[in-house]
Amino acid sequence: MTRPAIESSEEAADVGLIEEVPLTVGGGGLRAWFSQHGTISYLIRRLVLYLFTMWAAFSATFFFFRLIPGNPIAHYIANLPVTTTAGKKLLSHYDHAFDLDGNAFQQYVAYMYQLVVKHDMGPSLIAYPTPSLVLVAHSILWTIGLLGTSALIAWILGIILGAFAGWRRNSPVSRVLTYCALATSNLPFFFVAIVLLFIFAFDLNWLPLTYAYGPGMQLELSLPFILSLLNHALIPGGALVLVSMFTNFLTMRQQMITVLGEDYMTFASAKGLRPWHVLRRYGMPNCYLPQITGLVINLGFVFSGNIILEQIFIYPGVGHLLGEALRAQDYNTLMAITDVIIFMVLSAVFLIDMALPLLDPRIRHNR
Amino acid sequence: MRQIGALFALLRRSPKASLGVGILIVMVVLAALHGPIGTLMGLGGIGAGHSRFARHAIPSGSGSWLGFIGIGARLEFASILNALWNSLRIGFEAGVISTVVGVVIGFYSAYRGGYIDSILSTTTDLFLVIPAFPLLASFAAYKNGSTINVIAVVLAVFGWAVAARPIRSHVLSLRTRTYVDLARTTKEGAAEIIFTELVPNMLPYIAMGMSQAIMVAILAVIGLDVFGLGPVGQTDLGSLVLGGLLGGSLTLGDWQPVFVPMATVVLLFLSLGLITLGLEERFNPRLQTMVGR
Repeated sequence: MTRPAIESSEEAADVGLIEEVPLTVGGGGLRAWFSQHGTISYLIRRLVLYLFTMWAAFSATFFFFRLIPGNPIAHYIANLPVTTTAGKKLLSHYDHAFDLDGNAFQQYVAYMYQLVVKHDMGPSLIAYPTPSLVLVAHSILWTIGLLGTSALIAWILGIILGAFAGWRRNSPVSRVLTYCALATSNLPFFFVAIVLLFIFAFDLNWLPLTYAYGPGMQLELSLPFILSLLNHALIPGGALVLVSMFTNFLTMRQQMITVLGEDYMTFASAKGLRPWHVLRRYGMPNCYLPQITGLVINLGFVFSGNIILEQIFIYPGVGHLLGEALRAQDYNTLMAITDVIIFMVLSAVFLIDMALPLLDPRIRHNR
Repeated sequence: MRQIGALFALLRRSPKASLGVGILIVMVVLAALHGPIGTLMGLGGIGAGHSRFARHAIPSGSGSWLGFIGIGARLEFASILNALWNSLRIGFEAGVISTVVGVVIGFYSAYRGGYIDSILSTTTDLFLVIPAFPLLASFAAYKNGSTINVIAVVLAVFGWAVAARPIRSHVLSLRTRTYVDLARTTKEGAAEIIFTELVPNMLPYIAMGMSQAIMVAILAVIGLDVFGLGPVGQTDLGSLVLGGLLGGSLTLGDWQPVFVPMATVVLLFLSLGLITLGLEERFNPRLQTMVGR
């Protein structure tokens, strides 16, 4: 009974939040135009909110890094194997290259200018003078490849199994699955990965230990390379699939149980439709929507878990890059990684918001 | 007092939550006693060795049932308890701070409404978007050795939003209830209404959020350990797992040093998860028939 009330107030809150965006420039004419063009005005508001949040998150990240005491250049020179005293000229050259001139605010303006105009986040320290964004772009392909594929597989499996477990709540299979899910869904990915590693790589010797492809192989589109790629992705990907599948399973099962109590389900069965048809055409479509938004909301969390997994498996994705950047205190690269994650998560949420009316005809953006 | 009584009544009605609380209490008590237990065991011969490595390199009878960290060093029961204690400390410190901050902001934001609400909820959303882990790891790397307390505070700085968001939306639905209106007409102050009318109704929900925050914090520190950035001079469960991995336990076919600390984390998470689930089922009537019916 309490559920609908909560949901509607949450919705009301979201509308309130969107309306607070400093977009309304005043004029009565503009306001009237917006009220006539509901969809477009929603689109514009949503876009402004998206850009504003991204700007705010980037700025917060920037100042977080500048608040940390210490100069990365000085740290780098201090850690060189040879003891040197760097000349003033050299230091100021690198300070300029890394945008460390002036006070924090001047640095901020320079950084934002560089980011918006040149789409550059400064050079990296670990591979100077390669831009940090280039490093992130290279490694993120690996992460998206591993994470994207396994998240998709986990999502589909979770929906199918969850729908089944909700539909046939009393069968022993559903019970076993549910208890497995309760135990697994809270685990860190890499715990599961270590168990898989121990069984399949150390004990049975079936699968390789670390890295993304076999030693001495070149990046190329050939059958042996692709096979090696898949072979190496099995353990980390398997761990990701297992944990996130059970997380999706639990939410899908809950959704299904809620939907089963709806009147249209009773009506569909009363019409004499076959149970399988009722499940597929009447039950499941009503569960998709929360599952899609859930997928996007969990994205950031999964990303962080994946970072740790990659570090353990020396998988050449963002997690591994993060480890290297941390060791060198390369804060251009660290900021680039953080900002790219922010960008991806925000864009995914934005795109899903835009796509919702296409997925669910009940949602329309003309408020 | 009345609320604590109600909490006990709730536990009695929910077997899942009471099981979770039971496991948690046992773990906390054992972990708190890690010092005395270590002395009692004399930090030696806990049981007969059955590690493969032990059979090869160390004379029989001097093994440990928990296996070996690297070469020669044994993993002791007491050191697991010590690590558990440190993990629990971080979890509880970060969990309590972030929940308190989240609750205060969530309540205040929803109760006041208006522009205060939109500023606070936009800030909350912002903190939800910023990925905590890279920033936390960067902080730990620059700080070059953070203590448990510092890490807990930084975790809370990034974690409060997770608690604030759902609490805000619950308060939004609660504040229009008639009993709150009644309190308002009898001229109770905002603080009085929040603490005497709203908070008691939200207690199970807050407890749920806290157990989740504890899990997130423990997990984040394990992540820091993976990057070698965990609390300095203190062993937590994550550093035991990593120590076992890097010490080559798996290569030697010795699973205990890696798997025993991992199993401890799993047990801890299971107890916290059971508490969350049990409370959720009591709190949300639709879910009461969720498992096994």
